[in-house]
This record gives sequence, structure tokens and C-alpha cells, in this order.
Amino acid sequence: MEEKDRTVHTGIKENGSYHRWVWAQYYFTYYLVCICGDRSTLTYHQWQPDHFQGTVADYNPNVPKGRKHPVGHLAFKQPRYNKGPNGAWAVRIFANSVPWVRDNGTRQENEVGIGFSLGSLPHGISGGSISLEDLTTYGSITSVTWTYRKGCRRGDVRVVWGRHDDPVNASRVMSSCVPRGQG
Amino acid sequence: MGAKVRAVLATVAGAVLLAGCGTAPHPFEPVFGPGAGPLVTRPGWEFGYLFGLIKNRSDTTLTIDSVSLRGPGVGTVITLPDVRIAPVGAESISQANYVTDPPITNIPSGCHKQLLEPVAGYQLRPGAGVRIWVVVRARKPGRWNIPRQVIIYTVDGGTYRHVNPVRYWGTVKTAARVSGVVVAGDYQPAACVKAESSRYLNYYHAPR
Repeated sequence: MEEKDRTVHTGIKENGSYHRWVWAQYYFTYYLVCICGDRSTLTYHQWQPDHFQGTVADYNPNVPKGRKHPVGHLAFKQPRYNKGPNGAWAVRIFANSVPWVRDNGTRQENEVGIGFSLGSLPHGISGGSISLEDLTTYGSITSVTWTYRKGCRRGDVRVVWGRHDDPVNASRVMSSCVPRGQG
Repeated sequence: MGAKVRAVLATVAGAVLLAGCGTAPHPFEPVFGPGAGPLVTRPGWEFGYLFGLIKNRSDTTLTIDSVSLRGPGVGTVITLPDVRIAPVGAESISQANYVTDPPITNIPSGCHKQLLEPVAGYQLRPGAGVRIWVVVRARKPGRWNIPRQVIIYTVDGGTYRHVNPVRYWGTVKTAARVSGVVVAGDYQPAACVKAESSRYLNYYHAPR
């Protein structure tokens, strides 16, 4: 949606299991697009993101009228941890490790359906031919840092891992405390 | 509104132009931008990094000629006394920071040592992957940053350059708080250091 580096302090602090979408709020502008020619003219309306509004949150603020749940909510069930051959699918974070970061790179896209798109439009605008991209993208504009913290059970180790993939190119990266033998 | 309409049309035109530009295929599996930092340490201290992935997804064996780790402060604030290839396979261990050279680990099945090979001339077979083992030695106070790994490789008689977006950075301070004690029960105990003919990096040591 936007190809520009930004750094925003979200203030999001979580302990324990945490799997949430992070929402960046944008101001959208409704355009009338006219492709005007001498013999024929094509006009249509289109919503476009205009500018970032400075807020990132881990709750979906778009709860449409008459509904209880935010549109576009996607549940995520964390797969079972597997360190892979010789630990190839994990990065271990020791007490003396420096923070490990993963950012930008290629994209992970999720089809979330037309309901997601329509529900993301500003209040009062719905249906018809208006739609945004019905894909969500993450990874391309995010940067996440994992820093060692105490709190794992004695004998456990902190790992950052991908599902059947190396964390440097896994589409999703997760973190866990796992028994030392599995780390 | 007119200006906005023109802006949209300009964007569409730009997208068409970009779509016409091809990119040369390259043999390495793309990675996200991983990094490790900041390292805050004192002059004289060393620290080891075993991160990143260089995986040959082509059906041709590549020869790695060199790995370049350059950036502000490299050579002045820090030096890199050891840069080697760490093959991913039967004799590999997990990505992490290590304070021994070669990196070793102690898991319930016993002590394990990462195989390390010289960079120049390393043959990267189809489907094989390697990481870069880097030892950083702090030299004097200041900041340093290595924004990428640049790999020079040869294939089919041609020499090419691959930029791997793996970065490292840190600060060297005379008064930095660092502890050299590798605690008992950690992954790199003295028993494994000795058994695997490894050594602690400056100035790490077992509890005395």
C-alpha cells in the first residue's frame, strides 16, 4: 500500500502468547478518476490511501454498525514447534545474545475475502463496486526485534522459529520457550 | 480534484513502466532482512555471530570467492578476526550469538561443534545452504555498522556479486557493562569447549 520507511512506537507490550494483527491507520481519499479521450471517456471512483495517520494498534478499529466483531479478524493457531534438522529452523536467544531483528524483504499475503475489504472502508461507505485490495500484506513494512527476557521455565530456552523453514526466510516467525533439548 | 485525478493517472503510468523492467534471475534463495544488534561492548572484547542464510536454489554448483563485510567503523572501531563459511547440514548448530570459536553448543545429546570452512573457494552445491560465521573484536570506542553481506561468487566462468541483507551493528564503550562469565548450565560449558577443541572469545570464561 505504501512504499516508505516509517518508525512508530506502538507501546504494545505483551507477555505470553501473542498473535494479533497490527493495524496501521491511514486516511483514505475518494477519487473520481477520469480517463478522458476525444472519442470516449471512462470515469470511475476509487478509494486510495492518502497518508499515514500516525497510529498503530493491535486491535481492529473497524467494527461496522450492527456487528459485534471487527471485520477482517483472522484467528491464528500456532503450529507445533519443530526446530528442524540440526536446529536449522530456529534462532536461539541466549542471555548474552544481542537482540535479533527481522524486517522488510519479501511479502506474505493473506486472502481475507471481500468482507474484509468492504468493512475496512470508512463509515457510511459500503457495497457495490467499491473495494480495496482484498489482500493483507505484512512483512514488507514491519520490523520486529526479539530481545532476551527472563521468564522461561528453568531449563528452557528462548527460540525464534519458522514453521518448517529458516527464520530468515519463513513467511511467519514465532517465538517460544522450549525445553533445552528441543532448542 | 483535478490534481488528484492527474496524480492517480501518473501512478498508473508509473506502474506500467516498472512492470516492463525485468530482473536477472539469481541463484540464491531470497531472505527477509534479518539482523543482530546493537552489541554494546568494551575495547578488546570479542563476540560471535552465526546468522543468515545463503542457499543455492539453482541446479549449478557455485564457488564463493569472498564475503565482504564493510561499513562505518569496520577496521577502526572493530575488526573481524574470523569470517568463515558455516555449512548448514549434518555438522551445523542453530543460529545464535556464540562466545566460543568455533561455535559450540551443549544439548542433551552432547556437545556439538559448528563445522567452519574457509570462504575462498567454497563450493556451494545445488540445494545447499551456508551461514556466515563472524567474530567481531572491539578495538576502540565508537559506533559501527555492517549493513549487508556482499558475496562474490563464480558460476559457469562468470563472477557475480550477491548482496545478502543480513546486518550487524553496535557500539564500543570503555565503560560498557559486560560480563565475561559463561554461566554454568549454559549452552557453551567449559567441558564442551575443551572436548571440541574450541576456545572462548576474549574475555569470556567459565566460572572461576
